[in-house]
Amino acid sequence: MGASTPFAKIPEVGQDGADNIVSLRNLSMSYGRMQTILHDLSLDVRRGEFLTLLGPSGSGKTTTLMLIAGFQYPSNGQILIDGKDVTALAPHRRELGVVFQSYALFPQMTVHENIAFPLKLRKLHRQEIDRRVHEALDLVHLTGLGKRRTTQLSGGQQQRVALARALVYRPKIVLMDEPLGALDRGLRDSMQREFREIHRTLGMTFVYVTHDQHEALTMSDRIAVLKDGRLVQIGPPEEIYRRPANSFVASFLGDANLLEGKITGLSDNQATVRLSGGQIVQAPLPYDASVGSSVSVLVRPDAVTLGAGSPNALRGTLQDAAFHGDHYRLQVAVEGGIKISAKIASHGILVPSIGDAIAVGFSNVDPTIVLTRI
Amino acid sequence: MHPHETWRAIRGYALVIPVLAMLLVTFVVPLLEVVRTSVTDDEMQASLPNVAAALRPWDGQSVVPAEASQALLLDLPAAAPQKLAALGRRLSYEDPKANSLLRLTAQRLKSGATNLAEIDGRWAQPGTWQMLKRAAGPYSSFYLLGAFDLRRDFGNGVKDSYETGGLYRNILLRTFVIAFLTTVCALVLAFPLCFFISQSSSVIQRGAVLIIMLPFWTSIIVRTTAWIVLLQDRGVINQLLEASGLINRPLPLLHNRFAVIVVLTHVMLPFLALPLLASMRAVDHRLTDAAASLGAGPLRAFWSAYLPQILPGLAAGAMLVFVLTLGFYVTPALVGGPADQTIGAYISLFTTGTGNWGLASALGLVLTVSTALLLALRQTLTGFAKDQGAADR
Repeated sequence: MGASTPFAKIPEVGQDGADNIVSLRNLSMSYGRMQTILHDLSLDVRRGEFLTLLGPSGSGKTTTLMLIAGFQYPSNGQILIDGKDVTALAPHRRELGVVFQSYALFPQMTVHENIAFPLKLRKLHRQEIDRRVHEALDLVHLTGLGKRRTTQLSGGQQQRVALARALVYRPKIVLMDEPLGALDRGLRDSMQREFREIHRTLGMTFVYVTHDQHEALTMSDRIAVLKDGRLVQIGPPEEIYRRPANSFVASFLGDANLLEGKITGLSDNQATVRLSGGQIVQAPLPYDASVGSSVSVLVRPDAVTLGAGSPNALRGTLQDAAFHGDHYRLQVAVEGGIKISAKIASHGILVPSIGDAIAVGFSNVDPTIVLTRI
Repeated sequence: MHPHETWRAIRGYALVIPVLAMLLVTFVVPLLEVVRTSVTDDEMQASLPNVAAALRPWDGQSVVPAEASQALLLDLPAAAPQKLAALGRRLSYEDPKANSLLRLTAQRLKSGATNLAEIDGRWAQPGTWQMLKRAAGPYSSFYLLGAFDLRRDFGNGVKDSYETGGLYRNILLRTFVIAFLTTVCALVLAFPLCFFISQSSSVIQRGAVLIIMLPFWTSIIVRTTAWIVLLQDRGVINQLLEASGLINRPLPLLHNRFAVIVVLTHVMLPFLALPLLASMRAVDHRLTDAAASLGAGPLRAFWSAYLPQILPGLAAGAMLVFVLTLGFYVTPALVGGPADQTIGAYISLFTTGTGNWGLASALGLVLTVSTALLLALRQTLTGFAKDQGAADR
């Protein structure tokens, strides 16, 4: 990567000493001359981690996963698994587990037969197969459902069978392509917990693809954010959320107020920014940047404070206030056509009427400055 | 049910009335007529009613009842020539000489003779009377048994009549063999073709479907004639081979089993290719990917993940080709030899040629029933598979 962003503090891939189980080196993927899916993508997966590839549709995250699995081959670049070049290796020789969004269970087989399938291919003894299948069914909380047809199961149950099938032969790496995409919200939350738990229990490496930032934030050890076939940022969820590399990552991971402006002064990682409305604010600068750079100041709605006394106070009018039980969601229009969304705890505050003048501010320690455009 | 719903249900049924009426007129009624014709055996009833009545109580084994010969003396001179001719034809299906025996005896009786055994020694043989009893009617299993080369024998139930020139079992078997070979050949050709098309771009797919459909718009006679042009001794293939010096004498490509299978395969290919292609295009490739990720090599993935998905289309197409070929006779008639004629050709011969409606109906019934049994078998098998899938749901 490196070339994709001028900021140097984003962790560089392929650092010495890191125990990488999968290394993607300069992967490119294109269909014909027109459609390029991946641009020179390099990425390392550490042994035993839960890495999420996050991005909107068309970002190349699923393609990346399919390239690791071997269902597709890159136009350029290298894929290393355990240090061995597997770029041209057939998928059935890669010893990976894959879980699909569509479950991809064999409809003509029972649950037991589905899970036993990879074990039979490995020519295990019958008793060993039965033992391992039962173990896997216990692991995914489907004890006793082995004799069912897969078509008789709910979506959540089918996905557990798919997971059990991908885990039962103990591959070192399990790839998951939006496995919860077809499930409803409540089920997804509980499945997310189960995935994490299974990951902790088995100590395998999980590479997980999703477009859902909540899923990525709650489950991952690290998140790799992709956009238009390029890696934008990779790091732990907190880092990605708090110190996004650019405005795309900032707005893709949760709600974000992005206040555009130019750096007018610098001192000790603290930048003075003149916003498009003329206001002067101060915020920490996590990257190297020079005076005059176009930047955005990222303020998460829950970091917005009320009152003229708060640091970085901005004057405006209240446009909308919605009560959400534990909090209010306020929309404030400040000078210069800037709109700020604020999430204010509802306990013990008095919300002004709509149309009233209001001052909002944000801490000059917590918010961060991000590159305006990528 | 709510009156409104009842009315809606009635309207729904009303929509299918034309189809049901057409089915009734063009299928159910003719089929019942075929069944009736195949068991009708009433020529003797019409020409020699007293003989028929006298033979009915006879067990066929003991001494021929005297009433029978009495009735013959009475009936034969009085029988209308046309009706007697009809009986003569019916009896000739069993014994080609029976017709002349009847005519001769009738003549002699009219000119004053009274002793049957003196007119012709055959009247003294029980076999002649057994033949008459089999034709006593008005309904009999004569044609149905005949379709399987069987004949009712009064001693042992039914008996093989192979030695008297029976051949329908052979023809039936041959028809099934031809249908089977055609299905296998069509499968061998259609499978890789459809696989290739299903993996191609959508432009190629559309073009390929058009090319597959193209033969449908050409008359089958034209297509078959085109094959004759290709396959005959002075035909395109033989001339090319001779010109290239590969052969000195023309290869026998026409009027044999080879030609029948080649042309039938060509005619039937679309019926297999279209459903097969449809099922191949609908294949979920995630399943084969999943099989591969679990460690299945290409063959195993094909077997476990690909084939089960296309099996319904494959079975439907193969069954369609098999059933259609069973009833096919134009192509074998044009490009086959005498030993390649299907049961359809004989049904056609008996209806439009010799006028043996009884046997034609019986053969038609055999074909219909065996086809229906095959379809029922397939239905049961797929139903079984579905039931397994739906068990304790």
